[in-house]
Amino acid sequence: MADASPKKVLFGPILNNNPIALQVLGICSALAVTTQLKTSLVMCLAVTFVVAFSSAAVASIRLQIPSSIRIIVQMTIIASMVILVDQILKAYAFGVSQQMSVFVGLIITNCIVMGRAEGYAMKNSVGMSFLDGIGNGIGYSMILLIVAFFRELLGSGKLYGFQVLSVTQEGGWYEPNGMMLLPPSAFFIIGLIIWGVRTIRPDQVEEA
Amino acid sequence: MPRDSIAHTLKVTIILCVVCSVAVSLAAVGLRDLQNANRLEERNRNILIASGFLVEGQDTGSDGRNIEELYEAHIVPRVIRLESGVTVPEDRVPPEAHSLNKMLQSDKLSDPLSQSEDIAGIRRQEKYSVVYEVHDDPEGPITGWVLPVRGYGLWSTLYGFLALDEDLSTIRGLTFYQHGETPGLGGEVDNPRWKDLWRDPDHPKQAFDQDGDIAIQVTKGAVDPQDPESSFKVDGLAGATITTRGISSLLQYWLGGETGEQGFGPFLQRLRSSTAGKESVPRG
Repeated sequence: MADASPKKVLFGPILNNNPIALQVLGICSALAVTTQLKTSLVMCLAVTFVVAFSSAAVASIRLQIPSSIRIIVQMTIIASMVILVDQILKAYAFGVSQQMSVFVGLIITNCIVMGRAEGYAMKNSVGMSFLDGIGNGIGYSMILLIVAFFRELLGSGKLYGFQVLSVTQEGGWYEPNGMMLLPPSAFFIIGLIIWGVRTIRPDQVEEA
Repeated sequence: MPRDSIAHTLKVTIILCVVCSVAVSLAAVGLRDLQNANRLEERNRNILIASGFLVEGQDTGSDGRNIEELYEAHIVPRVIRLESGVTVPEDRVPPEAHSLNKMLQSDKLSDPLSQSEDIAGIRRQEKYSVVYEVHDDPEGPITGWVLPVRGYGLWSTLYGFLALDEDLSTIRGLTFYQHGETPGLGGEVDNPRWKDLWRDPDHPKQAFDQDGDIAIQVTKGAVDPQDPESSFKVDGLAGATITTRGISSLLQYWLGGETGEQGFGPFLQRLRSSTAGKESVPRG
């Protein structure tokens, strides 16, 4: 892994090694915030920021971290980053942060962040860890935005808050699918995406 | 010093903790004013929406004044004791009275509710509450009231404002500014079209019937406009039976409950008995 090119580190997680589709990490938040594109986008930016900077921070002190407390050290760094993001959102994007409520705080428990810190940043340079974080953030974001696109469109006939399908409640023709607004629908969509990706790339299929 | 020695471990731990806590504290302290301003503006915005001075999704009123100016002109806060409904003079208001959470955590500043009393699912009732006088004419008399309400829905406590006209029965509006109901189902309590049902100028909704009993309720399905009781009924939200029931219960509770002693019951009673609710209170 150490000799991987920056390009590979940055773009690999998007399709080849997607944190959600292949590694099946960080699903919890994917279920929670994807009823609307807007909240999903903010979530994506927040997670990408946290993954990138916490990976860089862990990598920068990786030679100093005693192995007995390395998980706690990573956790502390990640938690601090998340609190920073939460505070900044509350100050500069109050409306959105209200809608996302606890889910910003829950980035701490997003397995992607911890997974990249422990799995990559502990063994690689600061710059590469940062790129790895950005790449994984983008990979996560891509899936989240696809899920949110379908959930918002089919669930409320809107995209990014704008009405695109005229719903029956307002005299239109589209009957919104209420199930799309409930968490299980995100499972179905993620399941379909994973199926799609593994059909195109059979090498991702795990052995039974 | 080897990496895994106890001394080194302690050193790393201490440095890490100090660095992280300084970063977090700096952010929290540095951004606090901005966050408080946001929270205050959000609250004022909802008070103005409930009382009808501001349209949902807009930052200025029909005459172009912003939230702060509208609030200054039309709204006057007043602290009351819920139990008696008496206004508390400003110099006697305990500092905690402005923080609901602090009051609810204190045995001195809130009372537990028994199962049968607690129809809104809020567990404790605070001793002090801030109500808001509405002045349609900034220099004129009180023309309505905005009352903070809350109650349990399906997943979460809904926090909102109920605005009443000066007759203390005609509903000017109802908004919820914080809740965790299912988006698209119970979460539709935010929907401006649903909120408009509470302030239909042709068929204003009434909180109380002729006998002074609480009559307002959210029904299942659409309300027939021919129904003689339609002014006490609001269409429920499709697919959100429990949230809808929660809203009926919380209104029932805060308007006085069965006994008329719960929520703002005593306060409303006082207003009614004091010359049709027009007691003169110095503004400011």
